[in-house]
Amino acid sequence: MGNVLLYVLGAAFRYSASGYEFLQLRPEISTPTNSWKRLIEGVHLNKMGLSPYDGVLFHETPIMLQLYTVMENILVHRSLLVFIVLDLLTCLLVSEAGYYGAALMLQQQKRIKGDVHPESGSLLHSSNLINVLPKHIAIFYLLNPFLILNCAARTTVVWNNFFLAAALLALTQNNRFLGTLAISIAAYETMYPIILIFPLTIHLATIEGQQGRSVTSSVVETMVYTLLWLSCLLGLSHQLSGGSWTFLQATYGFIVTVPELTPNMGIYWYFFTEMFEHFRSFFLGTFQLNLLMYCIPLSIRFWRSPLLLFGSFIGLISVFKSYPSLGDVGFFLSVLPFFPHLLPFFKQTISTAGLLVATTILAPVLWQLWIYNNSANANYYFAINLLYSSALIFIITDLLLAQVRRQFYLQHGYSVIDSMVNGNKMILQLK
Amino acid sequence: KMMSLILCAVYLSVTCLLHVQAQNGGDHEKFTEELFMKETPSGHVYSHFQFTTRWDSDIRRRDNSREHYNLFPRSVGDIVAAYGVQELSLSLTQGLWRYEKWGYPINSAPPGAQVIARFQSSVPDVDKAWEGLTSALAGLLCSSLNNLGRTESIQPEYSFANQGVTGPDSLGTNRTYLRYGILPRENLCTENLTPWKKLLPCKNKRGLAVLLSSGHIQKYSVYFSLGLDLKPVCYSTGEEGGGCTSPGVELVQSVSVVIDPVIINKQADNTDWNVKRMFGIGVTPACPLAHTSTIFIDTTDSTYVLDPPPNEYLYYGAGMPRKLAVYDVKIFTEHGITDITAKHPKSHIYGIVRAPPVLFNRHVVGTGQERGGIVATIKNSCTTGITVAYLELIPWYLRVYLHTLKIETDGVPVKPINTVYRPGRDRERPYHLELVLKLAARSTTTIRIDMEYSILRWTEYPPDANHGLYVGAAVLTTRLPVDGKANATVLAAEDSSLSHLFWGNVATDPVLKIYSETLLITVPTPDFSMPYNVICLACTIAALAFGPIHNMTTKKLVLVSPDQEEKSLLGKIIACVLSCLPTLAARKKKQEPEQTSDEDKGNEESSEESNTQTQSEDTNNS
Repeated sequence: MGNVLLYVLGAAFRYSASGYEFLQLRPEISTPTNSWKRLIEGVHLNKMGLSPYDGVLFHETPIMLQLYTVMENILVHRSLLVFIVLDLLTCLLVSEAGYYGAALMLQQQKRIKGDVHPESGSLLHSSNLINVLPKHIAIFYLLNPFLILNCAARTTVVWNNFFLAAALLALTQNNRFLGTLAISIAAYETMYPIILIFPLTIHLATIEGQQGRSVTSSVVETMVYTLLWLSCLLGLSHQLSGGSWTFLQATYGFIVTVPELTPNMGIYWYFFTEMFEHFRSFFLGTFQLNLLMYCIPLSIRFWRSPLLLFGSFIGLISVFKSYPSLGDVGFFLSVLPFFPHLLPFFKQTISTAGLLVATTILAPVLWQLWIYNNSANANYYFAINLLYSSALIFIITDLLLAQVRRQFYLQHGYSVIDSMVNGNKMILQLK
Repeated sequence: KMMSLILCAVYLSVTCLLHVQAQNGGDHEKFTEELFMKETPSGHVYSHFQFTTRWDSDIRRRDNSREHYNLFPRSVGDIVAAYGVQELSLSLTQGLWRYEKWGYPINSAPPGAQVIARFQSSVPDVDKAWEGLTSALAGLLCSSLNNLGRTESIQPEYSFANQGVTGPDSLGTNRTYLRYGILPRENLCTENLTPWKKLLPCKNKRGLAVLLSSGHIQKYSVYFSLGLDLKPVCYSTGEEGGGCTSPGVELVQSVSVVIDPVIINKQADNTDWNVKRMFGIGVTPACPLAHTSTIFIDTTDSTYVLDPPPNEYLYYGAGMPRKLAVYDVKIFTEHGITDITAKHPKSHIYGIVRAPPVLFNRHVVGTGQERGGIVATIKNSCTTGITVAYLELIPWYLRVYLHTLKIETDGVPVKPINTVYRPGRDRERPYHLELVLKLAARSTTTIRIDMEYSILRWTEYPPDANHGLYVGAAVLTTRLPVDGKANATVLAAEDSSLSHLFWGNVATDPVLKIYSETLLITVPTPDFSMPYNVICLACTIAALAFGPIHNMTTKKLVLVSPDQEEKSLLGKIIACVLSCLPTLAARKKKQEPEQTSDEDKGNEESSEESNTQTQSEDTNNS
């Protein structure tokens, strides 16, 4: 009953926020890659017989374009309903993933229980997790202001979040078919989620390894599935856009080369506005690789906890993608309840939370001062972007460090930290 | 030997002279200079100078490039031949033509620079020819026309039809060979007028061109426009419908100046004017090379008296004919420089000016530097409906949303007959919107489209970026219905000279071009002084993620004793500072042992303790 009420409340919030049409135009929520206005423009051009990829406004994929053109009656004319339903479905998927995720974590815990230091028993998950987690996730998802605004602004991030949620659910259910499909679609839409294939592959290989299957064959199978899905999607797009590959430049080329410098909450726009022309390609490469680079070391370090990998990758994408929006961050924040066991090990919870709230409130204020009142300049808004990004980075690194610390305490117990050597207290350090 | 050489030289020069005489006397090249003046209902004086050079030679043929030029400017001829130009229309304008106050000009031009060129169908790469042509014209007229590359130009589909004779081969009408570009921020000044005057057969030494003194025009004019129009004309047609067999060329150089006599007279009600005060000199003797040299003054509805009186009056046009005073400069200036004065017996009364039948205005809507819209208003006060072509060229840095296009006639949405839309691409091509609309009689139509202002790379902004960026004028092309024709002076297609028109050859297809206002848009600007800071700060954020992730993935969490602790740079500095503090404090204590009480000591000790505690915490954190 409570759950139904929560969903109704979430829908009501989304519905009432959608009355504010200016949300669709906010740079923090709508970026060139997900804006509703641009999607409509693409559909309009497509209906007129012009290729939307000929211009620079439209960056959605051909399947999305065809879907919206063919089903215009439902998807465009009743867009609000579609988006709210989609967002609620996403929440359903994530909380379902919470249930299976909790089961997974409890199962893992059972396996390592013997190795846990006797002092650290309080750090273990309680078996109640399986009941609490879905509820917490639903609360975090449905009442998350970022996601409410994102849904009310009708960005296509709602679609992307839906597929990410499906991928998360598939991961917790050990479902290769669905998982690779969802990740492929999400990657097909916005490119960056392709790195989520790392946690999925690792998880499937671990699970199947325990069942006696060779790790290599499991990894190869996942890869083959993904490639198959991706080539299907790209082939279909090729067919839909009349046998032309121009959409690649307008979608992935646009994401990679960042030609449009419309301000958003990320660090790319001002960086490449102020960039010296001869360094542009170098820094483009550096910034795009920056995100990719984290995948392998993190996968090696945290291969035992694929859920954490999944969450931190979503977080890294939402900070380091070229056109980030509040919707991406909102999804990352709504996945955080998966890790209640790490909360005691967070070091900067208050400061990062405060920073996130403050910057979210200040961003529109400084935008107004810069763009409309002319009493501030671009630096003010960019300063907020920097703080906002650093707050998110702090959350991600805190999350990962918390996992490292928890592992340490589970293994060694508490008292080891109080042990004295030569009258000096020992210090816990990464070395 | 010496004698024979001299004889030879004399012979050569005599034949040359004879040749020139023959050329002048013959009908191969013809030069006409004309001045049309009109007092507008608002009291402004509109002067239109027109210098027409016609030549029966087809200079566009490359094998003719070594031909002997007499009156026709060779520099223009060479450019035309080099780039295979069929038609060319160029205008440089300072100020805005006020249609609602001044009526329609003979030669409409938008503020700034505009080039319309049609290339011959033999040109292999039109864009390349266009870039070459604009660069050459930039050199010819000392203007920045070279900025009109392929990224700034479009290919209009309904506007700018052929001006000259059409036919097969090199007189084609194919739109793919047409290019149009506009530079709204271009200024017109002395350095453009001087080379332009040098293209005239008499330069600025003789004839009506003497009146064009830059100092006076720049000082008094409220509108000043230079024009250079080249088109093919036909000298002889073949059999019925056979097309033109020997095309010639016609170059029209024109200057339009609008001067407010009130400003010259420095009296609000004194609108008397004379040539001398407006242009610094009276009418000088005609250019000897000119076939005719005429001044026309439109005296329809005029309240002034011309002194000296004109040679004759001419009635032009059907219905309500216009009365033109004609001065033949060759006769008029027999006794040297003569002034023409217009004197009003009564002081001017400013009333409501009757607007011309079709008015076109445009403005930008919206606040802020984020997004806005363009609204164009077309007012048709004709008693019949008209068809118009509306052409909008929007630079790529304003992103246009076609789905927001709204066309309403008196509040009722209408559908355009035809729509041409080519979306712009960043740094590649501008947005091109062309609409063909049917306007009802006595109606006001508004066209509205939304756009977003993009933030550019910091090196792409023009100087004084906070001033804003300009959007060139939109063009409205239409044919006036019969009842509106009297308002416009449209030159005949076969011969552009004013005399040809005024002596009874009314244009058969009076196409009217109306330009809108230029728009100024303030786009968001970055801080131009900050590139290094921004690069450093953004990279710091990236490092903020890289550092901890690098640490936790390459290192192990272990317990170490404080002396084995690895300190970060900051930690080392803090530790160093903290280790210095107790010794300093100890020294202080030694110097003033009597003044410190036991309690103070205790306090200091405790503060030291807390210091060391924070130190260990800090290092823990790091």
